[in-house]
Amino acid sequence: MNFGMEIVWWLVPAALAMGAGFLIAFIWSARNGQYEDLETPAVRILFEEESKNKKEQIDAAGRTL
Amino acid sequence: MQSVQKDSKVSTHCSGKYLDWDKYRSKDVKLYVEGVHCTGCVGLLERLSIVQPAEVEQSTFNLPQSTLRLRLRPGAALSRIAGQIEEWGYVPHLIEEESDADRQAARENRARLIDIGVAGALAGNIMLMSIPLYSGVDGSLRTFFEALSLGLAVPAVFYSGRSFFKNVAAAWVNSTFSIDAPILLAILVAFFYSCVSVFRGTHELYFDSLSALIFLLLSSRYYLARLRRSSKLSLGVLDYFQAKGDRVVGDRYQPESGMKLSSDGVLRFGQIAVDFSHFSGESVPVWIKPGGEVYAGTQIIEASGDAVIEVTAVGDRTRMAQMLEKVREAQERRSDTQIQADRWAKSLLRAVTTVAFASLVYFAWRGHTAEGIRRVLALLIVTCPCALALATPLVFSRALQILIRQGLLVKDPIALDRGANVRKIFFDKTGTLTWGKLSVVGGLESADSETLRLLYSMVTRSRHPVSRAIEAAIVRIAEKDDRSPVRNPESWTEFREMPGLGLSAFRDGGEEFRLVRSEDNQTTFSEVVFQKGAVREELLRVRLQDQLRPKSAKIIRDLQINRYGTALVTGDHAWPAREVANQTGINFVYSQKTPEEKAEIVERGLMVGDGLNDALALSKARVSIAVQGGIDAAIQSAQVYSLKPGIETVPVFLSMSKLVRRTLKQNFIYSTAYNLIGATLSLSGFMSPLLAAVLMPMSATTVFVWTLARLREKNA
Amino acid sequence: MQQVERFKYDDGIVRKFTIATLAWALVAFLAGIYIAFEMAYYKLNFGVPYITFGRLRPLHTNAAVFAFAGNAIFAGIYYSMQRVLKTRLFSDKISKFHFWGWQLIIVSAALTLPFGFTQGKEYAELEWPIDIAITVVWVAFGYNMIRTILQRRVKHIYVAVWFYIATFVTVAVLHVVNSLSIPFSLIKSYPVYAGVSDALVQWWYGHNAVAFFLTTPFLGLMYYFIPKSVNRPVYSYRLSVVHFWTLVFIYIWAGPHHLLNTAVPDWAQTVGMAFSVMLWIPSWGGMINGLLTIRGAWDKVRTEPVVKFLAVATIFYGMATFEGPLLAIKSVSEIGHYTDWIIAHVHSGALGWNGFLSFGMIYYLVPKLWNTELYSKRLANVHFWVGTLGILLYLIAIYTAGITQGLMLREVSDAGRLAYPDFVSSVTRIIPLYWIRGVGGLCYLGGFIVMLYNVRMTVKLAAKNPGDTEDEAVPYQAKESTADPHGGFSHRILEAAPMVLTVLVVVAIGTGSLISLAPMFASSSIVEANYKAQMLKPYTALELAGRDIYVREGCYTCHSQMIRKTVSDVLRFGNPSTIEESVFDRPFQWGSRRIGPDLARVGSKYPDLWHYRHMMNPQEVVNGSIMPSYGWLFKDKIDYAILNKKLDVMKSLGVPYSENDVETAEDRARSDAAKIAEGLRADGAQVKDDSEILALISYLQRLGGAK
Repeated sequence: MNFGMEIVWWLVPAALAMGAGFLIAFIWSARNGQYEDLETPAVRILFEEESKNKKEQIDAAGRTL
Repeated sequence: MQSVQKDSKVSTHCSGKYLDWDKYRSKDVKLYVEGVHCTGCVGLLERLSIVQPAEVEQSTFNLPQSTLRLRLRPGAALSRIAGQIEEWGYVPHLIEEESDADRQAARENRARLIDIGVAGALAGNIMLMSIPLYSGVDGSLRTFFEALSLGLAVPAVFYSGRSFFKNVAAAWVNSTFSIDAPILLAILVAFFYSCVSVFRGTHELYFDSLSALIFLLLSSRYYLARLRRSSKLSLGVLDYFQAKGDRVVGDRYQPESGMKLSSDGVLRFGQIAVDFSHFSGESVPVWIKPGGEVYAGTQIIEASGDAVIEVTAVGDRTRMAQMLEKVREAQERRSDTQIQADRWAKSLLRAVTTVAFASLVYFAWRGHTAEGIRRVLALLIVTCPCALALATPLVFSRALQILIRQGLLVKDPIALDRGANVRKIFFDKTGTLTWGKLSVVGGLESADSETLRLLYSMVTRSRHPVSRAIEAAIVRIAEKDDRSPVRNPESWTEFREMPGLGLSAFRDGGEEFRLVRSEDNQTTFSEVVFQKGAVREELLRVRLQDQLRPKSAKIIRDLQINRYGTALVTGDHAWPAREVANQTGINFVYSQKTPEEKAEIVERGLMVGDGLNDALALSKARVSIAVQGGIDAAIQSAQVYSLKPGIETVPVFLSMSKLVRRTLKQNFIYSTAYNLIGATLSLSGFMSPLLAAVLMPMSATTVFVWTLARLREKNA
Repeated sequence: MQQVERFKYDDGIVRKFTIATLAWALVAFLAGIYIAFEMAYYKLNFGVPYITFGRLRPLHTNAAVFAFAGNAIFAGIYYSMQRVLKTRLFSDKISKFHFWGWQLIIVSAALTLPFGFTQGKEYAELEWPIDIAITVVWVAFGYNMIRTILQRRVKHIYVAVWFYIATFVTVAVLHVVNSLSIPFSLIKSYPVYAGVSDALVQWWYGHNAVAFFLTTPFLGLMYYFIPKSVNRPVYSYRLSVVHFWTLVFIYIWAGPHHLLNTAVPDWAQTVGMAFSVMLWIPSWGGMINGLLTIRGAWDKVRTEPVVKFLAVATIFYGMATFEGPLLAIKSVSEIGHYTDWIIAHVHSGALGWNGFLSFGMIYYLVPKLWNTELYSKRLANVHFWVGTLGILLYLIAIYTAGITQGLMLREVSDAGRLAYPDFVSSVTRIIPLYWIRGVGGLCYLGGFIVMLYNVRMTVKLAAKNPGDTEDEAVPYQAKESTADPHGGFSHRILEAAPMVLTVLVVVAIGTGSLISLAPMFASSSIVEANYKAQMLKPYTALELAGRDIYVREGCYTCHSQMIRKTVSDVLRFGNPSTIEESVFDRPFQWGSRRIGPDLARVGSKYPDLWHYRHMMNPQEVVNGSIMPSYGWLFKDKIDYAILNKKLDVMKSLGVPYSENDVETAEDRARSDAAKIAEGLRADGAQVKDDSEILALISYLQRLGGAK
């Protein structure tokens, strides 16, 4: 197993395989409509509709709000 | 931007106006929502599925389009949902179901994107494989990289490049020459030659060039298709004519004064006054009785309280839309310039292919086959008639789009071609340079009731500006004097409009009454004579005047400064004609011309006139712009229809024609120069196929972007 | 029929990872500062094996990358992913396993590295049991992540999540491939690769694991935390999507840019160069996108410490990703390679991009996770300024040091002679800069301690049981659910790319491995031919023992063994190294630093006694040397018993030992050692027959000379 540069025979296909994997992921995501709307998702992450399961809310000075 | 603190309780209020929506059958609904200004609104609207879980299964908002996609649960009432949206402060509109065409277009778009992704991935990796090959790797590793690039090139050519195969095959079947032919030739030659080279070990590979070419071409075409789509004559025009529609066939609604109709319909109850100007050119409202039809694009002027209209056609099926469809079809016709450009492109390609073969033979004969292939490949790849064959249609469609925004509907692109050559402009007088609203300035005061009654009976049957003016004057008199010439109109046995001359009517007993232009008009007014009998006894001599449109004079002056010859052509008398000419500064006057004579005069120039009344002249002129008269008729006779009254759009049209011509010329020069230089560099060996593969799409894209930049409203 | 679902995000796991981040950051910074001062003042090595620079440096790098950055990544990923996908993490159990497993790995690193249990490959020093643990925990992390994506309640997968997926997949493959090794004891192993193949695999891993561990996940975090902290959408979401896919499509190997001007063939170097330069574009696309997101909210940079940290981090990212391609150009690399310039490059990225982004993220997270406000914004600002000062001091000092040293070492007079023939003169010159760098590091640490205090006070004043954040959403369904007996889940399985991707990648790699491992078991004929032609002999048993000591002590952290084809290298060290010379080296020790001179042809340059005295007291032999003394080598005994095993393993990996070689390994080693000892005693040195120094000397004398 003493490769010289022949290791490249292994490295390159491995990297290509990974590239192919990502290509398939791209095709899936395009087909799935992930790229129909490329503006609204950026905005959606900004909503903070969550409510907290709080027993108490404390401010910076340690006082209960 | 704070979180929208709206109260998201379920709405119990249910606006009546959305009740109709409950008829909507489909589970998937698309709404256009007005009033979405902030990103918080998006969050709120997407919470519909949480706020009204029994009705809304899913709610997705599309910010760029401002549309809301809903998936409804069974039994959902769209009206309640609409009510909630309205309560939140937005205005929902129901959008018609996505047409199959839209869905197909979306599918195609996605497929194209995938193709580009695959082509890019393959091209990128092949190029990386090529780096070792260029950098001197040898031995078994060399073969390894060569084999890999071959392996990757196969899907690049036969999968990503399949559209080239399709285009060439389709053109072949139709016995024409596709512009993709040289490209496909280059790709195939490059591919097979490189394959052979791998097996023979001669190391002349072009896989990187051909895959880069495929990727770049696919990308630039995709980008250009998008540009072109946004350039097309689309909703823009419909917007101009009608409000956004939200009705379905069978809906009944109460029309209100001022309402612009978005659908065709029939009046079921009550009475309405409708402005049909876009159809008839008639700006005087017409009273409709039950059973009468109204159209999208018309406007309600008045409505009785009990009026109800039932929708008969919406969207694509309205009369307006169908008319515009015909315009669209006409626009697709290629103008002379486009045909010329196509021909030029095809001869270029034939020339290139010939040169390519000849060069190849030459190089092979001289023993430099490999070098010959390299140069010929570069030649085939770099030459492109893009600036002409592909940019020319873009120039036209862009120009048309800009013109529409300026109020000019160009039916036939040939008008733009010819417009650039125009030297002389002929103007109709009445309605074009003037308001077209003649008003009576004298001659009726002395008339008796009977004469007025007869006169009234004639003029109500005619739409001519003269007739209308007299009619209006008589009505005014009737109101003042309580003489009743407007009641009991005479029923004529025969009634004729004599184009260019006047009206003629026969009544019971054979007596003829005529209302004609006076032949001995000594005044500067328009004069008509009401005559009776075969002897043409003069009953009344009515004087009318038409006011000049305020901007007419200035526009004429500007046109003259720009070295256009201006002339007035009218069927009217010399004196009123000359009067208008003086006021506007027009030098040439052709008065008292019959329609046939008019047509003859305007043959070589640009005619600007009334679509209805100047139909003959407009159709015969080299270029014609119809200023009034309803789109229906105008489009038949003229090449261009001005949506704005008066002549203010004329300079716009002319300068756009010139801009189009300039741009086309620039493109032509660029294309010629580019191809000559490219061909020279390729054949003399200074251009590698890879460089060509990068340059050509870049050049094509540059031409397009440049064209679009040139064709902007401010440049016109 | 889906109803609105109320659920809670797992905030507990994020709190855990956040605290771990802070704890390990302290360790990493302290280790870094200590070794920094060791360089400025060698006496800090104290002659104690466990804290020598060579053994501590890997501890510092591993702590900084895997302990600090690693935990930060997990904290950020778990926090952001749940929220953009509107779902709790798939399995609390796996999350906890992930957390504790990872901490255990770090602890084992801390327990093994100072003891010299290292594989001798940068950022992959951890030995084989820990490597296996990393694989297991990493797969658990990925599985958790992918299952979470599958159960998401929104259709669109936010771009940050794609970055996380790419991180997981790529690091998994790289780690597994690079860590392949054959153990010869419970804690030690030899890599499967040797020489140039090891170099290529190592830097295929080294650059891309660092890139996909320190860049892509942080980019994902940037795309989440910057918009959230300034309350504005990403400047161009479209650009971020394009940027992501171009990055992963043409991912192949940029590794060779670490091997410029070495024995690696020119074409491979060119590939590395070309790819690295290409990478500049998507990187800057990301930076610009991140910075422009703050457009319209620039005042927040002034008022919010979180935004300060995030914005400055992004700027450092831009700097580093511009400098990187620059350094990847052969002629630039000629100056910078092996010098502190590379260290400066690393630290602008590590301190500026990774560090500051993590700090900004934590300042954002802590108040949210503990349901309170940050104890003191003012202190956070103090942290920022002190930290920035620290970075600047660090960078200015080390850039200067690197360029100075680089220029000095390559300077050749008109007469064709080295301007600075003594290597050590370049070292002495930059010592003052090392002090400044140390101070810079102290500032950075100081700022961080302020952060620790701030966070501690915030947490202390918060409620005791902060709990989990609640949210509600309607599950997203791909298609209309017909009366599908299996329900919506099978739909999602089928149309879920993350799953497909993982399966495909595993299949591809697996198949690829199986197919190509076969030839790997046959020895490469080309190499054999070369070796026969050059008559390279494998290491003798004693030499191998010495080599393993060399690896153990981390000598490669200061010494390279790769003479480049440059004029100055050849003048200074001898003929350029060839691939064949390291053909049996497991691991390869070409090195990436020259704090001391290159050793590729040190063999037969100095007599054994020189090495003896040098290892005992470097300063005595080389005036001005900052090398620590290795006194324990003279006391500790060579492990002869294991030599047979070692050679056996080497033989199985294809090194041409005969059966006889293997059997007689121990005996031969003993006799070889005795010979050296005899020679030393003849020269007046005191030495025991089996002390480790003999093995080391035997190895060193073999380098580059023996044919």
